[in-house]
Amino acid sequence: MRFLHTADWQIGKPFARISDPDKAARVRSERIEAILRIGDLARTEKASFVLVAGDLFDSFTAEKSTVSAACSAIGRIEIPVLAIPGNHDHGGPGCLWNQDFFKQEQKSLAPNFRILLDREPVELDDALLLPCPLLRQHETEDPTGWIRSLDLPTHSSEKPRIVLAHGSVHGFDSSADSEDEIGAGAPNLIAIDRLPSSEIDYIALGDWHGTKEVTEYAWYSGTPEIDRFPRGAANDPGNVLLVELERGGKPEVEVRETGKLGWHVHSFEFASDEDLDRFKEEIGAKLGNRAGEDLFQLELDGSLGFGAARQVDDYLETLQARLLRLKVRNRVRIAPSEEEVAVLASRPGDPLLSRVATSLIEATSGTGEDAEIARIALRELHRAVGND
Amino acid sequence: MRLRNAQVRNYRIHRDTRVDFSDSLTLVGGPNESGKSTLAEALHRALFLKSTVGGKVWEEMQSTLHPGNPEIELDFEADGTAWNLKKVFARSSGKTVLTESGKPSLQGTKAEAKLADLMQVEEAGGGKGGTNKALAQWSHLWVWQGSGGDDPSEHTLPQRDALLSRLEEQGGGAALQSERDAAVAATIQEEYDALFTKSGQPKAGSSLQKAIEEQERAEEAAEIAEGNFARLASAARDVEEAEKTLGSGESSLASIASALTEARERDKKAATIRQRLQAEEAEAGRAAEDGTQFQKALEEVRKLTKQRDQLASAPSHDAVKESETKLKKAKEKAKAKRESFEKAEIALSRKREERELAEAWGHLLKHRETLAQQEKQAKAVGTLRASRARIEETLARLPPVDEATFRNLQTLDEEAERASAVLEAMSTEVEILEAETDVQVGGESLGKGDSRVLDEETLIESGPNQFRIVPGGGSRLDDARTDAKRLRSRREEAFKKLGITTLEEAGEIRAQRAACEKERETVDQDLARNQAEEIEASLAETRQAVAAYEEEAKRRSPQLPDFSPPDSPEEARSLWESLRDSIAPLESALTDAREQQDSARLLTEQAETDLEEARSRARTTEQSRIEIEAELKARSERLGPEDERESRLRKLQQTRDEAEARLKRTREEFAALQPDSIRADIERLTRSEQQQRNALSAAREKRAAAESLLRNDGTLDPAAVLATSRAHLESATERRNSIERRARAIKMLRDAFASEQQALSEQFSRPLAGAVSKYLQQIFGATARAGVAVEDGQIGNWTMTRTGETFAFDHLSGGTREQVAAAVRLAVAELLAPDHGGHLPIVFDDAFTNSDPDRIRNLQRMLDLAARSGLQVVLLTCDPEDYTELGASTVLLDRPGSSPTTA
Repeated sequence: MRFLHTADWQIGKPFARISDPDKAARVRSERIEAILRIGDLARTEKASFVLVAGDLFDSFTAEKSTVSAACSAIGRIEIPVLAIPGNHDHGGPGCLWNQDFFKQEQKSLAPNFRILLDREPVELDDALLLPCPLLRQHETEDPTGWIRSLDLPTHSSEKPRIVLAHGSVHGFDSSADSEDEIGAGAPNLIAIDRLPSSEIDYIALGDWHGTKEVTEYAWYSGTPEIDRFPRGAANDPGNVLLVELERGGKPEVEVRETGKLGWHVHSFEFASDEDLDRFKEEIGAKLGNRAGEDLFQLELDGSLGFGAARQVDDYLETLQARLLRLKVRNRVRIAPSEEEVAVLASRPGDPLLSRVATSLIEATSGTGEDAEIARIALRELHRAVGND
Repeated sequence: MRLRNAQVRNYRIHRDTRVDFSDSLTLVGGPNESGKSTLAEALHRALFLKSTVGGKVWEEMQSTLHPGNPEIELDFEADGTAWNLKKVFARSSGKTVLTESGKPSLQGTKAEAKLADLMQVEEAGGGKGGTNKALAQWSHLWVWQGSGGDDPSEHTLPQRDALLSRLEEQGGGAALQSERDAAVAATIQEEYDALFTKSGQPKAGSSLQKAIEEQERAEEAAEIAEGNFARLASAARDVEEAEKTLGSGESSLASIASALTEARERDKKAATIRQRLQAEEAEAGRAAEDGTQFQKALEEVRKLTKQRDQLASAPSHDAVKESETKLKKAKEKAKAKRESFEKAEIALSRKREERELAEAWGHLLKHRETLAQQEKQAKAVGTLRASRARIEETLARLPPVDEATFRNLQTLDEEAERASAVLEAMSTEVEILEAETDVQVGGESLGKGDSRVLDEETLIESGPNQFRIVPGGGSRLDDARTDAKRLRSRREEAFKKLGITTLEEAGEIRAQRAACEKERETVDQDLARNQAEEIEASLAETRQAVAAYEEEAKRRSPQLPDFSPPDSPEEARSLWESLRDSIAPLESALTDAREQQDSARLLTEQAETDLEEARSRARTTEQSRIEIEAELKARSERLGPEDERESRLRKLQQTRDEAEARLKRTREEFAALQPDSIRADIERLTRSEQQQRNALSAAREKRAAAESLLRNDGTLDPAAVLATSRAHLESATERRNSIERRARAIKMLRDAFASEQQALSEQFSRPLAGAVSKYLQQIFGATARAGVAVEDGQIGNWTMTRTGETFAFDHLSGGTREQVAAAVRLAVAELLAPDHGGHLPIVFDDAFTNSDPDRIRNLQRMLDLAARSGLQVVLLTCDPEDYTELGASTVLLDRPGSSPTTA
């Protein structure tokens, strides 16, 4: 028996920090595309069903068009798709799962989809599911706790037993992982070591956006389409898991890449104005000739003269066009080069300009806010004189 | 450039006036209309106005007094040599001749061009414009009448470039801003103006204001989104809480309802028992009341019987009798006491009378003794008084010759004797020694042995013989005779008045009087010693007292027939004392008697009161007894026969006991139901049921409300909206910060331009202000400072600082304006002089009309300093005497016709 384990689709995530609305729509729609890619994989791998371990939607109040699009895509997977609510799309009061519109769209567009809102075993044709839905954003008790009270050893079913849960296990939690996480706070803690391991064959986890093996029978699938700038190399998002399982056996897990958009983090320090070319090369190596498929987070440090700074600005403008998002943390100190100082302050024919420039250069020497303002003022003067 | 001399002909008032100028200071004085201003004008026009000028300007230069065209000849020094200039203003045929010493003359336009070159001015063109320009040349050096107080800025304007280049040299090579400087400064100002209003606020519609507004809108939107999301979260919590409440509330409600049913049944049963209890209570009450009433009536009768018996045996009549006896005895005793009191009173009174009489006798006897003594003294006084009366009589009889009178008589006698002796000495004595016949001397017959003293012409006849005797001395003899006669007669008169004849007699009388007076004095002394008058007065008083006491003794005696009067005062005294001693015990006896009498009277009164009371009690007792008897009779009748009373009482008691036992049983039954708590239980449970229902209903409402809020219409995802609005706020804030930083940078740049422009300007203005200050200090003292602004090459905004206060030129007084303007002109001229060979003339035409004498004095120091600095000062004034301390060479102009004189 084989199935696909996935989670954290976060359909409807607004990507509000992408200021261009078209680009934001593009990133949003790519998440729907990812569902279709999962459907393709399920077909080719002849999976029996798809398990979504929470956070299918980004919000428990997802808007109608999002619900429709998601249902439509899920409907095209053709095999059963079973999901639990996660902390984002929890099953608490007012949640979309209880809204008439969702029920209507599910019925007409995704009859293969089933949302599991109750903590009780669900028997499928070839597996016994133990769903642990989150019924509020933050559960104060272990959502898998109910399983411990089940009398699994005497359970009639001999089908593989799969726990479906969303939250943090010891050492992994996704809280405050994202720059636009809403209501981040106490994690929903899952004590997997307290589950009766001999009675359970696989634990399908959601919430952690990177693919992660917790134990040999407990995995985080990660999100199938990356939705944030990665933190560290160990984080490996953009996959689904193809799981081969039998009752009492060891699960065989294959990681399959489904992500499409490139999310890059790049740091660079300008030692001198000559570093500009090296900077361009490094970016080029990551971006290649692509356009409209990547997102960049740039961490810039060091210092530049006015001319070089202008060139960097021009280059960043180009990048802005090619990228879906350019996030720059610019800590580059922009100060005039010696030649630029000379051009501004040593003008025998323009006594007033020389004096103004000299006084501003003096003011830039500090580290406070006034010094920074003085640097900007100096740059404005440089531009007004016509050298920039 | 320096003026040497000028010759002005046919120029308005001047027919032919010549003025020589000193190199340093020239004072041109003269009354009004003597042509001072015209002279200043002529000098200026010679230097700057073309000789071919026509029109109104030419017409006004014409003289109405003298024929011929206006003509000016001027010697001056310029460019290191001497020049002679001659101009004849004759419209198109006007002539200009300029001759450099030792060189050929220049004529016409060439001469004019050279002249402009020497003066370093642009040659004025033709026409009206050219003329006006010419008339305005060197206006910094020509102070026209009436313009002394003008702001000097406008007059220095044409000299700006020359002045700035001089100042640049002095300011250490500082340069004014370049065109590029100005252009960049203007660009920055434009950018600033695009961002900020005049008051420094972000300008509406500017990128800055837009970014601020955008950020504020984003903030507002984020707040709304936060609010919406929070409401959603709170609604979800409400649903959960409401469901929890509903779950537990329903089961509580059921248990409350069953408890309530049970309590109500209990209540119904209790009501039934309570009714029975009330009936039984009433019955028992009635039975008890009947028994009690009967017993009480019996008791009453017994009590009344006892009372009646007590009253019948009461001792009230005996008490009345006893009181009567007591009263009688008390009255008798009181009478006895009163009598003994009266007796004691009489005895005491008698003794007192005796004592009074004894006292009167004592006084009488004592006064009698005194009287006898006083009478003896009075007799001695009488003898003395008789002697004195005799002496007085003797004295009265003697002529009143006292010492003074006697001495007067002595004097009169001596004078009379002396006059007689004088007369005698002058007279002639005739003595009849032998006579045969009668000798008649002065008609008196003298015999033998007779002699006569003749003191007057006397006829002596003896028989037929007659002799006339004429004593010597002539008229003096007459005087002596008269004197002697007068004085003798005066003496005789004095004697006669006193009744005496001789002085010796007078002496005797004087001695007698002295003896008498001495004797009287002795008697007076005796009288004084015997206190005669006091004795006589005391004697009268004593007599009166004796009479008064005799009267008293006589009055008191008849009441005391046994009283034997004492014989001496001592006896009277001892009698009085013995009486006094016997009175004291009588007085105390009287007091005792009075007290006994009073107490006996009180006892009588008490006995009377007791008797009255005893009588009253006896009456009351009798009355009560009659009343009780009647009451007793009535009650006994009501109770029925005495032998049936006891059995009736027992029957009543039995009925009562039975009712009470029944009641007790019913009470116990009722108490077992806890009737008090039933009501409270029902109330409590009803209340609790209602509360529970309310809570459930509130929870349902709360759930419904929250659910309706949560029932999303699905058009918007509040979580997505919140994420979006937060992101938008973040980027708007970032954009705002970035634009604000740039705006601050632009402001910093603009401020830097302003302050550096200011600093540059100061580099120019400082030497200029310094030069002016030097002149000002001559007038206003060492602390005076001038201030000036040089902006965009414009020189202006003159100020003066004195004693720490700074005044703009326009705010100075008229006089001070004249002085400050002059200082500015002098400083400017001094700065420009090096371009003119170190010298420049400066003309003041009545330029200090508003300055007071003190200032004029100091002004002269300023002008002198200018002259010492190389300037040629020409001062035209109608008050030359004001400038005597200037040390200027002076030219005085007279009114038309006269020639100037040079002092």
